[in-house]
Amino acid sequence: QGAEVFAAKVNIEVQWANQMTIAATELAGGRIRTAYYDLDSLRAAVDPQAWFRNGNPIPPRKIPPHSLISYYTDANNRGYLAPDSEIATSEQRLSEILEYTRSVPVEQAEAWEAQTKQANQVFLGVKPGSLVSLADRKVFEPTHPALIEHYSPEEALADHLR
Amino acid sequence: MAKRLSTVLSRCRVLQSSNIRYFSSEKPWENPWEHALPKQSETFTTFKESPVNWANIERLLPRSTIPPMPRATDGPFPSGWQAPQDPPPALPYFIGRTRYHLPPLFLERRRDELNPMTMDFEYVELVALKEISGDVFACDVDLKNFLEAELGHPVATYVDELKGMIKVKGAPRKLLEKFVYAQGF
Repeated sequence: QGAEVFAAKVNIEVQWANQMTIAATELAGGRIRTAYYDLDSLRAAVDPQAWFRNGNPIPPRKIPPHSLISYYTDANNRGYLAPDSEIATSEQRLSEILEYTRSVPVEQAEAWEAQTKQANQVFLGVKPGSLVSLADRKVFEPTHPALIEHYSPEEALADHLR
Repeated sequence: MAKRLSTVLSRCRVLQSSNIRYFSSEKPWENPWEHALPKQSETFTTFKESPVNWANIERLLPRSTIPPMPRATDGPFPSGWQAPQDPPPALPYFIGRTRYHLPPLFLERRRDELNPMTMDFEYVELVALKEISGDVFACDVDLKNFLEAELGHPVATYVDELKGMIKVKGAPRKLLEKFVYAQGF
């Protein structure tokens, strides 16, 4: 709805997007990605202030369950697990289909690159497992190797509960 | 501050893992006590400060105060918001802004009458323009002329001079917002 008049250049991350929405965002010169948040990460992301106030460490974002992995690895859906080259070709194809030009200046692409979260991060620029102290305005991370391994495992954990 | 830190850190005691017995070189009959009770190790962790750009976290938190009003020179705004004229226009009335620097337009949905066919209530949607000081009736006249010129059909207004409020039936909120901006308030 309103896709014809959408003109805001945004860098947005959603859970699901249909092709019209993706086209409208990219026509306006923005960037859209679909990302998966498991329940714990979602609770943290929805109200970060309450999460930090309760003294909870930042949870690691889990990989989507088996039923949804195919959605989030698909470049056509701009999934966050899809490789960048595939997404670029998909963007070009969509622009050809809908007859608009999709060109991103290099500075803009680099700026977006700096704003990209890793797959296991809930918040940009903060490692999972770290504690945020709002009173001290500082962030603390654990030193025990078992915890470091738990929060940043080599093999990402899938959200099998969903 | 130290107390807050310690209470926070103490809540992060984690992980009691049982020691794996399979890799012990002793047989169970040589040391029965070791194998009778599972060893428990605890991973109490210490924390170290991590270098993080605090701006990344600050933008996650909601604002605690209303920011000052943007200047008109800050450029056209994507939402169509306009700053009020400074000094205010020379009209017999003045329409103030809400504390969020927005035009004082509020929606109201009043119950109208029962529809005997569907046995549901029908509702009427009104737009209230508040915060009017000065000659409210002059504002009402200007408003009516503006809306009827835009819409082409008459609109009903209810003027409450004491409260400085005009309720309008038959016009969308966006149009009343256009009127407020057009007048320079």
